[in-house]
Amino acid sequence: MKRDKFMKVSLVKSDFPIFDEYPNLVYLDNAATSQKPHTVIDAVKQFYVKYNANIHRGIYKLSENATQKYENVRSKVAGFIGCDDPKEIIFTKNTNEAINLIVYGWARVNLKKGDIVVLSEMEHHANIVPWIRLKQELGINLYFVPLTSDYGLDYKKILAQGFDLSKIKLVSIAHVSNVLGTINPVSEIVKFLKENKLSVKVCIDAAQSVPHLPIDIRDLDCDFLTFSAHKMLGPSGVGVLWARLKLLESMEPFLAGSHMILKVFRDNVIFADFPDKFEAGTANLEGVVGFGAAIDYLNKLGMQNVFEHDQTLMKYGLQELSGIDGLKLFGLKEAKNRIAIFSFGFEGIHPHDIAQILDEDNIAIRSGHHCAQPLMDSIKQSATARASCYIYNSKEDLDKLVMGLKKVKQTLGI
Amino acid sequence: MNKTLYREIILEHFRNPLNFGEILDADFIVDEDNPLCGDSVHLTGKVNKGKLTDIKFKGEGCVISRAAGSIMTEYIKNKTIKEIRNFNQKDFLSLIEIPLTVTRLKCALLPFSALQKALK
Repeated sequence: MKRDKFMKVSLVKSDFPIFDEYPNLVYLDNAATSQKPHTVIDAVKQFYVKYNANIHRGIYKLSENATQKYENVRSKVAGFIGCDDPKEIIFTKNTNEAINLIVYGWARVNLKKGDIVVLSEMEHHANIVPWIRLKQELGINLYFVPLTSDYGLDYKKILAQGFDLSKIKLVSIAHVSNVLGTINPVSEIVKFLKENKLSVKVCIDAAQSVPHLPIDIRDLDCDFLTFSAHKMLGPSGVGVLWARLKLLESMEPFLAGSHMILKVFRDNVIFADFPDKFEAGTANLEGVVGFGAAIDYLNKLGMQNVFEHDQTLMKYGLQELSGIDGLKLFGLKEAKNRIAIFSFGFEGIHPHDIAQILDEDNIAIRSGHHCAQPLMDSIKQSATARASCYIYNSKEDLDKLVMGLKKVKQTLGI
Repeated sequence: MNKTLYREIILEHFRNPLNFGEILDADFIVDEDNPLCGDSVHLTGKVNKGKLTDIKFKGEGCVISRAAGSIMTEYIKNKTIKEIRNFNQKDFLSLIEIPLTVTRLKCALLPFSALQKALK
């Protein structure tokens, strides 16, 4: 698709039936979840109509077709992130489960007391809480990379902590912050770790980056990558773990049961090879198939175009929001290394009130701690208001947000 | 979509809350938090001969929780403890007269929950 065609947001927007249902909806909560185009909704429906059968081991045609549909998506996902081998793609329930799979399948087996896992202050709870549990269980230590003054990661501080660097076994950080919108320089960080002879694995929580940026795991040079379908036009209940083949080989299953076995005896079990080994039970078949349609849709737009659209909105949003008197923005002020996620607040006003007053004009934003309480602590806020954009948003949506925020100020007398 | 939530009387209680502050020689002190949104309320009161002679509240909060604190404290001040015990959640919600969604109900109930804690 040509670039100029893509920039006609109205064309994209008309693919999303929710905006027919609510023509006045200004949906700016995309960091929480995205809306779904009709191709995705149809794919889910079509799966039930034409393909519904349980996958794998079915001898009949219907089951074979369902299996093929499901496995095709694995290849599509692989291609979408620059992975050559679909075996390295594991379907999970969401990013959160994918991270748990790393924690319980890899870290729990390979780490021991005293080892260090490096996280950052801008992590989502999905990339904090499983590690805290592992710390409680194994006695590993966690180090949180602090923020720089302009909401980036001060990752070079790792060297200056005085701890034994050889104890660091894993660095697990967000590619893009779900609160600040910062794009962390993953490949630079990996390079930095290598230059400093740190033999660590790198895990990237890409839940907020895969929907918006062209992603190539070969450029990122990480070892694990996790993301969710629902934030990138796909159905809920589908997530992805990508891991290097060598790591998958050394990983234990997280969930045990059916489908992930080769042979079961009364007192022993032989696991199946991966990816099956890590996908116990019947998967979200229609969800995975819908995810395939979401990837097709994004590929058709072109991820570079998707990213450029985001950058246009990001620049415009920064400019317009910084013109509102009294509004405090939490995130890079400079229009680079960030995406169109805007966290903000007004002194003395709870973000819930901001969100509620905006809702009166059908402007949907999120307010709260955004599952990032350690970050809230770092930026000294109990909560923020957050507006986040996607492909169907326009500058006009951001104008409505700005108008709405002026109304908030007026209503609350600030 | 609820147009009446931020009506003038509620906003007035938010801007100029009644009984806002802290009683230093209080007979009871309670704190209550809403971890969902980070709101907190600090309730202090004086009791004399079975009667709540003074009550103050303070804390971080949204319009709803602060207005609810203002309205509630004004209502229960100078009532007997027995009367206050009979003051239930339904009475409280009809008193503040804010039509609330499930999420915002927790904001409104914060001062009431603190009061229930104090009564224990």
